[in-house]
Amino acid sequence: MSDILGLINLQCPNTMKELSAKRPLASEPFGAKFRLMDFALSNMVNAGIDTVGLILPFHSRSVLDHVRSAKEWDLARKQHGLYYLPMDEEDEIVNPKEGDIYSYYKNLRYIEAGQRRYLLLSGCDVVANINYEEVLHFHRKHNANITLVYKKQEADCPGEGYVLKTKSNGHVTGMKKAENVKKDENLFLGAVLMDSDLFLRMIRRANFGGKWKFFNEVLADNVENLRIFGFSFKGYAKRINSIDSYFQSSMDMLKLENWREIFHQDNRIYTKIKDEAPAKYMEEARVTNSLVANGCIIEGIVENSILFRKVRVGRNAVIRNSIIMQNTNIGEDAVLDYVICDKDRDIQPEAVLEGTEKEPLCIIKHEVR
Amino acid sequence: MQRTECLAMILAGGKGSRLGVLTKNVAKPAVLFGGKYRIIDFTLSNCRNSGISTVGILTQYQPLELNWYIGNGSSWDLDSEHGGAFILPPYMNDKDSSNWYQGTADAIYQNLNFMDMINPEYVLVLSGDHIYSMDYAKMLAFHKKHKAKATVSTIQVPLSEASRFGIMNTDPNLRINEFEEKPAKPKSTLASMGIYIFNKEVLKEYLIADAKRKDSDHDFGKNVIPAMLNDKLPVYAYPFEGYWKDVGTFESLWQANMDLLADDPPLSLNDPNWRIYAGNHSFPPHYVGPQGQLQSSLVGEGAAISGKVSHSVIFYNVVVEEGAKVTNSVILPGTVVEKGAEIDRAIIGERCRICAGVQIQGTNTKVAVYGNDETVKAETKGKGA
Repeated sequence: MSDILGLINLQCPNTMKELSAKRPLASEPFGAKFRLMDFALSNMVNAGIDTVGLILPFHSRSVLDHVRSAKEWDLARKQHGLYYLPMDEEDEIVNPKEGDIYSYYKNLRYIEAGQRRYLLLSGCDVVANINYEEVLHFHRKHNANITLVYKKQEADCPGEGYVLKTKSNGHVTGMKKAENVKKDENLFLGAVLMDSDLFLRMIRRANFGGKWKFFNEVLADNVENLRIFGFSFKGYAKRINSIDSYFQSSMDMLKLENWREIFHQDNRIYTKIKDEAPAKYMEEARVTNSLVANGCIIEGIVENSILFRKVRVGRNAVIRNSIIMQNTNIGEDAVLDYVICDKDRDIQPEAVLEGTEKEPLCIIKHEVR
Repeated sequence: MQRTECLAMILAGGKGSRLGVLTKNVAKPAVLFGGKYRIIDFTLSNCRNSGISTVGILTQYQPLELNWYIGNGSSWDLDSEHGGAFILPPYMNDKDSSNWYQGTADAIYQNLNFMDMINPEYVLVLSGDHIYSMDYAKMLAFHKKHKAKATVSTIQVPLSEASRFGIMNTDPNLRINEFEEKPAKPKSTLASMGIYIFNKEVLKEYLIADAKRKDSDHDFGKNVIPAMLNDKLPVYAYPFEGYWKDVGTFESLWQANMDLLADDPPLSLNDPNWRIYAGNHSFPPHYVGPQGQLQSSLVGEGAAISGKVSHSVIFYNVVVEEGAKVTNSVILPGTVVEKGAEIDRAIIGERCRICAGVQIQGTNTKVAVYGNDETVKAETKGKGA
């Protein structure tokens, strides 16, 4: 039995409304096969964590459909395994969407019943293959109360985020919310390892104290009186907080070393199994620098693109710099450049759809008014 | 628990001797096929898609990998409360020190107690060696409609090949009046596919009788069906039409893989109403590099293609490096084809390393074959079967 209890908050606000109005960020497709939540879930399972709670977003249908019994993550167990932690109907009114403390407070029972020394809390908006066993060693070595996982930014990272100030040994001396995260700043990746008891005490106290936000109203206030350490994650990690970061991170996967690090090392990323056939390239296919999932049938030209499961590319169609989600059909002679196409779409023959690198064109399922 | 109407018994003990290095450590039904599958996936998927949820799998030769692969049958949806996948190895009982299955009929005979435990009305006997999609529910309906005691699934074969099969003659209503196993001079081209449906009680009676006969080969085609015909039982020939391949040799295995590459292949792997299920490995979508070229090919998950691949079947986790060329070939999982290596008309085993500069060239009548875990350097070339 693992010493760590897993808790994943799937209520990250969806910052990619252009793609879908209702789908939670956790369910956004990524990497030609996966959903964003797969990273958080698989990283926990790979660290030997056998009990994981999922705090469900308000629109949870896509999450439930994806995870189901959690068999693919080996969490369909007689004891322990996966726990769905749904919100009640009235909570949507009580809980301002930007706060997470109430969501944790509602689920303290899960943590008490779990009876593990440590709690690993994670969000679902980061693309990374993180070895949490290393994080636990780090946490113990420093006899920390709380360990926060961060990534020192290699470039400016537009959009708000929490940044940590650390001493050379990792001791966190300050944390703040930044409007825009700059190069060389330590961006918090949303993963917190701490004593379960400490978490319980903190959340109870914060909830009675009328606080909403765990990071800036609780953790930040405890920097001086607790031993809070920052674990510097050295691998690939990108936070998805906009169409821009989603597109960039997707395209990062077209570099062989990133693809190998994220998806093809001993610790795998798991996702829902679909039993599609291997991808089929027809005689006229011409594909370069792309990720192609099972179930695809390709007759056209594909460059610098990501094709999810069961995408059909018609004869003479040209797809460049694009992300085509599952079960979408690209008609003959269609031309797509810098397009993000939602799942189950049918692009007509001869369609010409063009976005730009700065502003990819999103083809989505429109709601009829 | 609801009663099982039809129990499937899959004969999966085949040694597949003619597949040489490819069956060195695995039974023939576990041989890899089509970029993702093993041969037995087709039979197991047919069961699942035909609504048959209780399947006995009779293993014998090199069962380890096959048993591991099948597990509890969950990959084929067979892990249900009112059904299941049951691995049935030969029994070791008190009477004989070893009861290796003596023939197809003997294999079923040795599992009569399993059949009694499930107690179905009908027993469907299948082979785990064939590649085809078939709705067994239609065959069962045919069996019931004709009030047959036994039904043999049949397919038309070219006269030149007929002497490899069990060949039968029927009356206009498809009732079989003659059955000859591998006749030297075939009288028709209606061949048995080695697929039978029996009424369970009738099957039991004939298997017990057959087991007592010292002169019997304990084989369905040679002994059991002829005995039933001899007793004038109603035995019918179900006419199957479609793709059906017994991949017994390197060339037929290679050809069956190549058959998948046609734009409109005779056997579809992409039919949403007839999915072919297989064990899954959680590998990512495959990667095509900036210099990659792919034509008329199937590519599995986790592969990284930076070279030129045409008219080939590439399994999961295969790496084809820049400047390498793979043509008309089948590359099994985990193999690396290094820079500048060239492969044409070959089957390359799992986890091989085809070193830079190596050239492997087979022909349509003699495909080049390498077993698992081989390192093929320019000077050691020629070790292949």
